[in-house]
Amino acid sequence: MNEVLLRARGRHGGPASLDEYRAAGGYAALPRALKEMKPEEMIAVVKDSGLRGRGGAGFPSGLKWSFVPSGDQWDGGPKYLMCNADEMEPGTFKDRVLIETNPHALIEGMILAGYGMGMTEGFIFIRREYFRQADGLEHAIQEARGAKLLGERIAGSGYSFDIHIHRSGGRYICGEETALLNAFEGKRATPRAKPPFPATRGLWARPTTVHNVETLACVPGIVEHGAQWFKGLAANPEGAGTKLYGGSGAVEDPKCVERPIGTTLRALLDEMGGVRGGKKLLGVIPGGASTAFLTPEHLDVPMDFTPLEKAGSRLGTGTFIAFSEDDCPVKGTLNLQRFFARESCGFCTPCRDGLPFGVWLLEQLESGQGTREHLDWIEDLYRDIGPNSFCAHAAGAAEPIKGLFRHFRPILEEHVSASGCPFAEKAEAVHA
Amino acid sequence: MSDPKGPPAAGPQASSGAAGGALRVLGPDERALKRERIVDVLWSLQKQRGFIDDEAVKLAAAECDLTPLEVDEIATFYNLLLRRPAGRTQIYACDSISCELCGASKLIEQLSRVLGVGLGEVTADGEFGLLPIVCLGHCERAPCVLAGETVHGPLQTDRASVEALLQRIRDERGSA
Ligand SMILES: Cc1cc2nc3c(=O)[nH]c(=O)nc-3n(C[C@H](O)[C@H](O)[C@H](O)COP(=O)(O)O)c2cc1C
Ligand code: SF4
Ligand code: FES
Repeated sequence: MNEVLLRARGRHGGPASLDEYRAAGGYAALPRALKEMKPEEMIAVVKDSGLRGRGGAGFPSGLKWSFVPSGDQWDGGPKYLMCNADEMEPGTFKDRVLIETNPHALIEGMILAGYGMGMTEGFIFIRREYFRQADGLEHAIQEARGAKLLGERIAGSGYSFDIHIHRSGGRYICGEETALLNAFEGKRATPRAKPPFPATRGLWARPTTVHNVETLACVPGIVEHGAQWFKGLAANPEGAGTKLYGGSGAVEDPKCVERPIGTTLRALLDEMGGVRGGKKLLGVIPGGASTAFLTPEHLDVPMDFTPLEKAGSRLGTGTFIAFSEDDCPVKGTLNLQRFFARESCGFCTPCRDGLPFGVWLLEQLESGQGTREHLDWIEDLYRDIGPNSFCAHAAGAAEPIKGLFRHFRPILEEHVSASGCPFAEKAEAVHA
Repeated sequence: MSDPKGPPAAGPQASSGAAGGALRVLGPDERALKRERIVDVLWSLQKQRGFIDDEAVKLAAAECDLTPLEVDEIATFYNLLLRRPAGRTQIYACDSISCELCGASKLIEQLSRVLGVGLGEVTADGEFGLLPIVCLGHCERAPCVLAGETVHGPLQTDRASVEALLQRIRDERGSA
């Protein structure tokens, strides 16, 4: 299929330059759109396109745009577009690949989104670990400024907009949109209470829209080819667009590919050479650490928001983590819970104190000290901390636990009856 | 949304981005703009001094118009900001799920053995600090580590490969 988000690639595998992006059709529709389309038309086409946020929650993007005050509702002051390039969800590396491959798709998407919402300035909040990627973006922004695609009166239109990069210090919670705004402002990055929502009071108390990198990069195609075209890209009837899918963990050829949204896990796994070492698949976490396990019986479920919800999980970031028959899902979940406990921002008690307790309970199982009671405690704990926590971090931590209990209860019980991890020896053999 | 403050104004055409004169009134003041830079300021101080010592906290506070306490709230928050010495070069070994499924524990053990230090420790000569870190966003290259500004991976976990990795890190630092 034709790639849309990754339509341009640089020579020698580097980021596509402005010329290379243009040669692939980039920025072609921008000047006309800024001159001829009204902002509300831009919002309408994004609404009709069915685009949903690629940052994990899948919120309809056009609807989100319509929450930003405009016309009489707007006081005439600054409004900000914030690109979320924090990308720290374990198993997730798609935004990095997009930025490394085709940075101008993000820039063009930001200009168009900025125009649609009447934004006065755009920012890219990027984790510091992405040193080269941030440098590459900086270079691409310079190229765009040089070609009058950023700055005053873009491409001869009446619209002015510029983009600045903010390099963060690396912390998962900064990806949560309100914590991101605090981080950006130079405050400790704990989430904010909602409401007020960022659409009305965001960065520096001004209207702000936070979007994932990939979501923004979808916008140029929609504006250029229309809502129906975008819908038609999907592999399943309820889907819209393409998706950057990633596969890692126990796969033969881990990588990120752009495919029609709704492509099945089976197809993606095949393309990545199947399970490592020709082993059997035990299960996958379909979309980053805060999504629930699926099993081989779900291989033909379309990897899209609604179908995965029906299957008891979530699309999340669309980057799956594969477990082979040799990989213990309890140990894997312990790893995820260590991550969530460590990256808790510490602001609220159920998350700050509850997640370490969850880690301790899973450690009991793995080390052979686990009892049936521990199993019950784990279920109760994670059922309770999500709804009682201040932000979605703890609820995200509960997702893989849900999947673990739904699909791998016999393995959990074996940890109790066998007084330890039944996979321990296999793991030795694999990584010896 | 239904309670606009201030006068309704012209459309987006009226804006002029970062330099936007009149619009600034409703946006960040100078103090807010200084504060926005705090992580960058701490990062450059860390690069100069090896880590963020108490003196650096004070310098950053002066630079960004904050109190040292406010700076410490930031300096203690981020994974890549170091409030204690951690060697001339930090090796951050990813221990999140995709790396673990590809042998991160073995890799960390081997790094630890070759360097002669545990996680969170600095080698006797002060050259390397070995630190754990969460997902580096390079999961297709698992298991991987971040050293300086470079991510290395996928890595082999045998002794010779880890020694070769350390040499690559030294060479890169030498040429940087
Ligand atoms: C703990 C936590 C971490 C998150 N990390 C990210 C992230 O790294 N990148 C991202 O785009 N969204 C992340 N999100 C989701 C954002 O809060 C927000 O929903 C998203 O950036 C909106 O963009 P979208 O509408 O384009 O999906 C995170 C959410 C939570 C609760
Ligand atoms: S749920 Fe966790 S991450 Fe979110 S505010 Fe509470 S402590 Fe912080
Ligand atoms: S899990 Fe190690 S880089 Fe993502």
